[in-house]
Amino acid sequence: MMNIKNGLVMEIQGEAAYIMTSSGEFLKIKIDKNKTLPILGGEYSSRVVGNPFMFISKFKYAVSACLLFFMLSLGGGTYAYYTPTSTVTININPSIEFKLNRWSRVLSSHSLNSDGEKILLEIKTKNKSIEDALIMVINQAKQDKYINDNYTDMGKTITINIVGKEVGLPSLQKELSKGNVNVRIDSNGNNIYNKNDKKLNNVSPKNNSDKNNVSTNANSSVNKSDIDRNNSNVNINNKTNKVLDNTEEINDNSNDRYSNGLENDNKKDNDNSNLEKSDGKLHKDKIDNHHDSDKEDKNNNQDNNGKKK
Amino acid sequence: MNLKKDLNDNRNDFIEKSKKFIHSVAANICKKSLQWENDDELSIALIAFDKACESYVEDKGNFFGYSKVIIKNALIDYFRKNANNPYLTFSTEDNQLEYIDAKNSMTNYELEQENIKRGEEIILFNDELKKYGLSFEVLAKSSPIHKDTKDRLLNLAFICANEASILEYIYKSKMLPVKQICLLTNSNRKLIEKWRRYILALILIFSNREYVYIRSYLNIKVGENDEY
Repeated sequence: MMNIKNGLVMEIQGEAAYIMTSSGEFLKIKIDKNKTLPILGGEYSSRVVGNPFMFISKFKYAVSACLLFFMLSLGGGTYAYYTPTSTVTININPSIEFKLNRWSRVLSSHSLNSDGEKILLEIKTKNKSIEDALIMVINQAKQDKYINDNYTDMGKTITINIVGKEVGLPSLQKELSKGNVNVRIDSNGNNIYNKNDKKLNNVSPKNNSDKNNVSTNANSSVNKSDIDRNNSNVNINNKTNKVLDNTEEINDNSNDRYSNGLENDNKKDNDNSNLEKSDGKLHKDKIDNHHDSDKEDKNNNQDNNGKKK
Repeated sequence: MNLKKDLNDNRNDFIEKSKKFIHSVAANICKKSLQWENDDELSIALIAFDKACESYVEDKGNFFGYSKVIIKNALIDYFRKNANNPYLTFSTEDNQLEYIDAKNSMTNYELEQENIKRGEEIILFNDELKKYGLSFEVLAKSSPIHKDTKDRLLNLAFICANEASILEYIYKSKMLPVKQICLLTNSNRKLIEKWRRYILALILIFSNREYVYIRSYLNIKVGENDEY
């Protein structure tokens, strides 16, 4: 072995002896109990008691190489972790955008509207997996009544948009399929999951069997149709204004009258919509009915205008 | 005894017979082929051998062991005093083998005698070191390992041991005159300060005439500066 040295014994101290080697080194060596004891002035060879720095100096290159490798891999790992590779946007009504790294962990999140901001204030999504984050957002949205029965009834859809590296969301899909919320997941423009269709197929026969549905569905989307109606009113009024130059006052009056009538309608509608909540209704049906009612409204308006004319 | 008779009455013949031994010892230290006609080293060795014959008493151990020590020291002294002193090195090679050979020819009694002599020297040396606040424990901790450093310090100590003013300063103040050594040896201050304990120990070994055995134990040879 390398560190066995032979030298002149200069001093003996307990289990150690100090020697001077012929090459001019002073060393501390361990006294081997199997050999004869060293005599002062005699020659003796044994293992050198190494100082701890010797050990380090021997392995310093290996150690520094290891350290360098470790630091590089750590740096590389951190860089890879903090490089966003994909963006996921969830749109309930609160809209939130998540930036993800390659391991589908949330790096940063920011809201796209004020509702989203509220949700984000209440949950912590940083470094969570995207599936957990999305589930948290949806649960929080449910808690804050962004998603309620009305939401589902109105056939609104949660859209989740993935841009960038593909992100699998199996457990989210599983979780969502239990609930009754419509969900659509798009990845880079391709639809990869759409819960809406499923529900349509399941529920449509039941809908058809309900005769009442046809009438009640129209009422469910009253608010929306109201706006449409108003819009159409304005349009029609404008048209009539063009035709009739001197009928401003009359038109105003008729508008007032009409809006009064609408208010009454609204009250009725609300009552009705309360009643039909228990019925599972269809988005498509609603839209169809909605259109029908719009048409009717238009006709009515035209009739009214015609009469006034 | 045969040897005693040889030493006292028949010395010329004995030296003539031992020429080969003297030559090998000297050549081993000088590391070059020596010729009886040309080289001073051999005549120095020859004179030293003659001195050894004179001063030898039986309690000094084996005669050849003793004479070898004397020759070695004489040569080292010669190097020291020589104007163009050669670069000296500590050698690790073939010393072991040679030593074992020398030992084989020694009887147990002779070996013991030599050890006792050396032991006495070491005790003396240790006492002297203590005056300078040094011990072998401290020396072991601040002893150079790298060969280049060791050789450099050896030459440095050698030059210092040759300089009376430096020795005087050391004996008086128990410290190394670092500045003076710097000037004398053209070496940098840091080196001297770092190895000051080791340098001091070497200077003590070389400057004191009594440490014959310790000095001869150090395997000092002539080397070329660029060889190492």
